[in-house]
Amino acid sequence: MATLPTPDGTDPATQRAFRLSPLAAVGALIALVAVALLSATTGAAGLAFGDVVASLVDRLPLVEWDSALSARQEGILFQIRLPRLVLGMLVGGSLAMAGASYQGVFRNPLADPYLLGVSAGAGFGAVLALGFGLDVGWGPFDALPAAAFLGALVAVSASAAIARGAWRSPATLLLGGIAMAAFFSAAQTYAIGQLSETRTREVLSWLFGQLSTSGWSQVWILGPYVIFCGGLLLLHRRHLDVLRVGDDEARSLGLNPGRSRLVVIGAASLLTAAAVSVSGLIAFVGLVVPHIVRLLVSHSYRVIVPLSALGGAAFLALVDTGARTLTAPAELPVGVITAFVGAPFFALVLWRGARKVPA
Amino acid sequence: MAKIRPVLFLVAILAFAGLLAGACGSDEASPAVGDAAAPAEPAPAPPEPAAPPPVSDEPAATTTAAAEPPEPTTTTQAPPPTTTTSEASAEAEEQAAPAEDPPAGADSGSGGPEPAEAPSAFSVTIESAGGTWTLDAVPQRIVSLSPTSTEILFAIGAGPQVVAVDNWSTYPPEAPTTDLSGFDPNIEAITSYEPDLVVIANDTNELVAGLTTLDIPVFVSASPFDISGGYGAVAALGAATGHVTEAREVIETMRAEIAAALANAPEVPIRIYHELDDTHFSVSSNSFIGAVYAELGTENIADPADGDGYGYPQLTEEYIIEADPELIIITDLLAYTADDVAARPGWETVTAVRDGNILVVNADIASRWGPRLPQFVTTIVEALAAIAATP
Repeated sequence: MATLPTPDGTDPATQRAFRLSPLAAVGALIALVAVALLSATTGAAGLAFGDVVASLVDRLPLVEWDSALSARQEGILFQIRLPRLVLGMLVGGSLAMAGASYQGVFRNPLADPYLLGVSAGAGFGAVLALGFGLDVGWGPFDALPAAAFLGALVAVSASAAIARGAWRSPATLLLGGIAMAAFFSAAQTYAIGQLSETRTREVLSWLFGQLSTSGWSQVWILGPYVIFCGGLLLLHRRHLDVLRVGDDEARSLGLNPGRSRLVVIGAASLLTAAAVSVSGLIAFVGLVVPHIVRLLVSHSYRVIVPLSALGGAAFLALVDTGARTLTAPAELPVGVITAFVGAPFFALVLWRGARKVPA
Repeated sequence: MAKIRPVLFLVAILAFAGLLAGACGSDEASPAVGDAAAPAEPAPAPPEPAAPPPVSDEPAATTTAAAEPPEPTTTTQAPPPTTTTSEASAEAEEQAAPAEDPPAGADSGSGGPEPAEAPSAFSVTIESAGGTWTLDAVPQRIVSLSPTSTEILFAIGAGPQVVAVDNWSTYPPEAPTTDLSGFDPNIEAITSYEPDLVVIANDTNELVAGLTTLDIPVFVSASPFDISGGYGAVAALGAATGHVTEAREVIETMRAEIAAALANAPEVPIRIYHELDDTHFSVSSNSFIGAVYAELGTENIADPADGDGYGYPQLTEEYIIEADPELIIITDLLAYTADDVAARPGWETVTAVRDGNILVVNADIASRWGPRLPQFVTTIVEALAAIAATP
């Protein structure tokens, strides 16, 4: 894998464009840390900035720094605010990375978990699991992500199957995805109609897209998937660049296109499913964040995949901070703000980058 | 790619087969599947069957007109009850009177119930967001799509006139529950019961317009703003169904029971949090049930979050903990229990959790403004009094 040559050109400038520049990586990390700090220190409970920082530093090993926070405020910080922040980062990073991978593997800049029907499929699986009492754990793993994964996989497979060689015809693939999304949304709606009132209520509030969480349990559910699938996608990010030049060329470069695709689709679907299962359906992140990275930094998936993960994490954490503070002490649906903030920004980036032709 | 494709097809086909099997298996409700199939416009959580969230501000305007056809009750506290009773008794006289009264000026069209045209004839004009209708005979085939109205109809003795009630009308047990939906009503399914009066809580799916086209009288008994508005709903249904006296008796009983309960309410305001679901949707004083809490003299932590007066704000979790409610109220219609609430990480410092004051109330009683309201008030007052009594 490491021996794969760069797909095009030996021009050093081009070579550089295909590598993740330290500057961009550091920039994304700084943005993420800044968002994290902002999010940790803002909220309806109005904890003072200095106290929060002191309390956080105090938790580090070997450091003693007494903070003025009461036991209740500590509880708010460590059991409510921080888990939600971390969950937002994991979900945002997952969706953005999955979106970037779908875009690469389908060679389609419009591919995203939503348009491909993956989210709807995952949602349907999760509704079935939630609604029919399958929300039990199997050891460290929850049944919910598994059911969501099955739904996601069925949806993306069916989209690709409908398109029959999707990678050649972006429009067909998207239309297939739209068909699957419509089908699974309908199935989901029907399934919800069959549930008891109690279950209906639970499922609907979940579907709405919520990062609201108590404690760290959901972070522990999502974490293993992020590490495993995220790692897999990062390892395959070069393959996405190679796949871009066409199957025959990829094969001549020593890559098995079918297998690479299968791995990437599987990992991205599992990642989407896991994210959906803890947070409900949050649109927009998977489509827009990779494009912003592409337009601002590079067209190479070796850059897009990792930067999308960081950018998605920062984006959703920031948006969720808005969701829980803008109308405090009330709460806004996070999906509303993802679109409200993301759409104009995306439009601006598109407009400015219109002359550079995106891949 | 060539190798994956057959696999993809197989997976897709299996999935379809599974879905079809699942769909057929659960497809038992024969007559009105259409009703059950679509309630998915996922309204955010405040899921009181009688006041689904999509009905936000706009219907609130119609509510005023809807809740109290006989008298112009508004949200003022003291006077309306009296108005209600006197009005109800006025109607009672009108009901009883026609025998003696000469059929003078029939059809004056002024809006209130009118004297009948001929002796012993029944004629009542009902007015609501459902329009103005004159009923020339006591309705004998009533369809109620509002659980609260169903309770009221049976409490005032109109039960025998009711031919069908919606799927959420769970009380009283003898109510003829059908698969009709009040949340997502299907007009054809409703007309199949050949109603001569349809009572609903919300005009969804253009129901009023449809029934009007078919010349079927419809009465919208919308969620009131406070307890006295609830009395108005009882009086209105009494007038519409020819049970004015019984309605007045029900109101008197409710008023007496609530007054008795209120006498025990503590002087000091207790901080309360009424949780509708685990995403922390709550009720503010702008909702009916929140208005009841307000009349009990409590301090509702959801009020600061309801800037737009919608009545069902979603609270952010850290605010709830910081607001430190002394009493948490949840319903029995949730997938979690009081123990689950108490076990939430970070909630152990909340006074209500620490002192074990998480009250589980019957979801139906806690969302309806019908004759069982005094039970709810009594339950809450007992909990408040217990909290006030402990130092």
